[in-house]
Amino acid sequence: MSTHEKTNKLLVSFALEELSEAEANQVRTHLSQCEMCRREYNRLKTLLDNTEHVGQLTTDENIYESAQQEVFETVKNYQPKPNLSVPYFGRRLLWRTIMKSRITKLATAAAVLMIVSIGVFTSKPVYGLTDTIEAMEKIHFIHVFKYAEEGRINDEKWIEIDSNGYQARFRQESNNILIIDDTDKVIVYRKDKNTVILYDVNQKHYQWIANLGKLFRTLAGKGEKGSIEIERNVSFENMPAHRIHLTEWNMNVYIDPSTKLPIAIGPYIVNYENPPADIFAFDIPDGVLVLDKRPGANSIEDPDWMKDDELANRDFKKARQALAEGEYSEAVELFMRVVAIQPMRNWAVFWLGKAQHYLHQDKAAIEAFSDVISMFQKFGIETPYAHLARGLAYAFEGLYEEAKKDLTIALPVMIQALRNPKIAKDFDYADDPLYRDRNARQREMIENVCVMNMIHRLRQITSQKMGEDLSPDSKVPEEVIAAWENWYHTSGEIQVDFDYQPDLYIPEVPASEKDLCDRAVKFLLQGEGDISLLFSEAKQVQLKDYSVWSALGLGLYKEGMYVEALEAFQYAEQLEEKQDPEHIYGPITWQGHVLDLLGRREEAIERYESALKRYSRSSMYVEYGNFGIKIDDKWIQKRLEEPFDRN
Amino acid sequence: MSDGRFEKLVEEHSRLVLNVALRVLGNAELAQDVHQEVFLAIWRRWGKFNGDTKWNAYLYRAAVRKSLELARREKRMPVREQQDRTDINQERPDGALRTAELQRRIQQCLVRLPRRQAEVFVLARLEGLPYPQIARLLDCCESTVKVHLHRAVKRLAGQLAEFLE
Repeated sequence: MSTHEKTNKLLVSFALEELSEAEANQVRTHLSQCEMCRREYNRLKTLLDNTEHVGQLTTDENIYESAQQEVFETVKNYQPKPNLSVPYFGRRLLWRTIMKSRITKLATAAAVLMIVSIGVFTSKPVYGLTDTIEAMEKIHFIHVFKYAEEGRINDEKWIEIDSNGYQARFRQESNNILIIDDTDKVIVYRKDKNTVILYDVNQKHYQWIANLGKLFRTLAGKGEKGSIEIERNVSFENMPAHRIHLTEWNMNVYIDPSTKLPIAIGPYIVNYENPPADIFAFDIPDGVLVLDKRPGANSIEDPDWMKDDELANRDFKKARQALAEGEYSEAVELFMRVVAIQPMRNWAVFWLGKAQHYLHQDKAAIEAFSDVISMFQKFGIETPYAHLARGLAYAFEGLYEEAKKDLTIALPVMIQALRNPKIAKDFDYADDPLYRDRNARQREMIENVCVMNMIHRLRQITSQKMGEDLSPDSKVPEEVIAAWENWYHTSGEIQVDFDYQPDLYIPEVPASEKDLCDRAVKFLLQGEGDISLLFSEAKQVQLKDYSVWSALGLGLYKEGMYVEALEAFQYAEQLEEKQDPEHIYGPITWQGHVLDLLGRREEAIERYESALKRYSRSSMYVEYGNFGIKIDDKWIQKRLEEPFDRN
Repeated sequence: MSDGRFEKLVEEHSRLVLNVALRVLGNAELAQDVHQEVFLAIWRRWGKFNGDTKWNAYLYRAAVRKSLELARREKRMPVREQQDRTDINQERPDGALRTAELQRRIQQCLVRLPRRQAEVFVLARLEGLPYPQIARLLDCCESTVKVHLHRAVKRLAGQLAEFLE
């Protein structure tokens, strides 16, 4: 660092008279030679000199006496008003503040008059999403359930909401399973297997919708056009309601007009009553097998059904890989093994059908797709992607009437997806058995070509040619989308093109990135592997997944490799800026942590301040369960006050 | 009312709270609002305070925070009231006006600082408290106080550059 740079850094300290005599002399010498530093110093000095005289004290002694008397007078008349959202004194103070100037008095009077006259001449306010957002903030419990065909309650959940709007405790019960997640431990009671399994919350965590209020806030942020459609004053089960149609999920939410709270979300009925006492408690029934899987617990051998489940999980992973690689016979064999153990695993059944279809075993494929359609129809959920798949299987089997029925169900959703690509997600997931293995960047790539992929599917079932030369590198032209919409409204005729193979864009998962992901997570959870080697490899392949960089950062921190951890969190920050900016305060805060541990307090503070700036909404947090750390604004504020300490 | 302890607290510490508020806000009426809010907040929770409360530190913090909060709530900074004091910029005919304008702008920029920086700046430069005392008041270490103060100074100097030439 040059003398100029060094001295420049000392200017503030010099202006504040914090330097030793020797340092101060050095600065003086430099100032005599450097005009730029001299000007900067003069600005600092002027600022500091003038600050001393900012807000000079009054010479009027009465002000102290009258202030005291005002306090005593107010205290004498104090009556607590716990139901007010604004504290009693605050409101009085606010009124006093408003009334202090003539202009604001007039303005306030005018505003009051306007509000009164609006109240007289107009009907009650129109419902908006913000009403539901505000109503959700007062909720403590959510009771959610579905009605089974015979009218019984099914798939019942109780959720306790904490003061930040997030799930505090969770309880789910259906015919075969009871789950209680009380944020300390998770209890899974497999009634069908007469077994209770205990987990630590870091091993398994159940939640319904993490923050229901957030869902509505997000929707409100997107506005009423496009992602949602609000239809006011409809009815739901003979009760007045407003309907919010979520176009992305093709799902309806019904709102009670008086409470503004959801009464139904998709197939679920929603209530807000207090649960029965001890709903989140659990007494282990007599005679059940108890498996305690928590760290440090005495382990006993897993029962056979659990070993089978593990096997099924491993086969499922291999089967997806085989299907993606075109090894259809192997995929069929593996999926059949999975389905034999887990017959209700819908994606296993669906992809079994896909593999069979590719092997021209369409009778078997039809059966598989039919199973999937039935599984969801029981709950009132449509599966247009499964109707598309079954429709094609029928067509290839020569059963054209049945094919037409299925494809006619799928077609309108496919056309809608041209304007709302997120509707197409299930279709892309259905065609990409490795989707869940992809990193954020690859998923983004797939989402970007949703519309192009959907046009390929449409071409196959309609024999129309619109959109012949589409490329994954450019957006689908508006005229192509308009042509499809026009065709649908004027014709919409199903005609399968048996020779057309949809050229769907499905990126390959680079083996090295995927492998790195797996190994990073393994190190973090089980301590297996060499984190320093992983870090080097990640840099070599220029890993583009922010979550893996964060995982590497945590692993390096765990090992005390703080310099490397800092670098990893910096990569995570750069990538998260594009991929998940809402939570970017997480890796930024971690940079602060490791900087504190490295004794670089000033830089750490800068990172915490930056993290706080990026913390956009109260009640958000990022949890690092393995380290017992929950980063929210309060955590970051504390770090500004005291350095991070591993202990 | 209480057994006289609350009244004693108000009598002994009114000046401290009002002076802090006056320095930050430069306006007697707003300073009285801060005074009211601070003590009435204490009164509402009076039963929760034990004999160990360090009132000086508590009230300093509360006064600084409330003052900055109120300043932010105000749509525009109040005009500084006329005071008897020595102007710094006496060599220019409009020295007094210029100084008053600069000080008003310092107040405006002060409340826009990050909260911690604003608090440290008020305590160090307006109240003239030494760093160890500020560190105790804000429950942090001295080095942190220095960092916040330096950043506040740099930021203010940057924002007010044209007025500081």
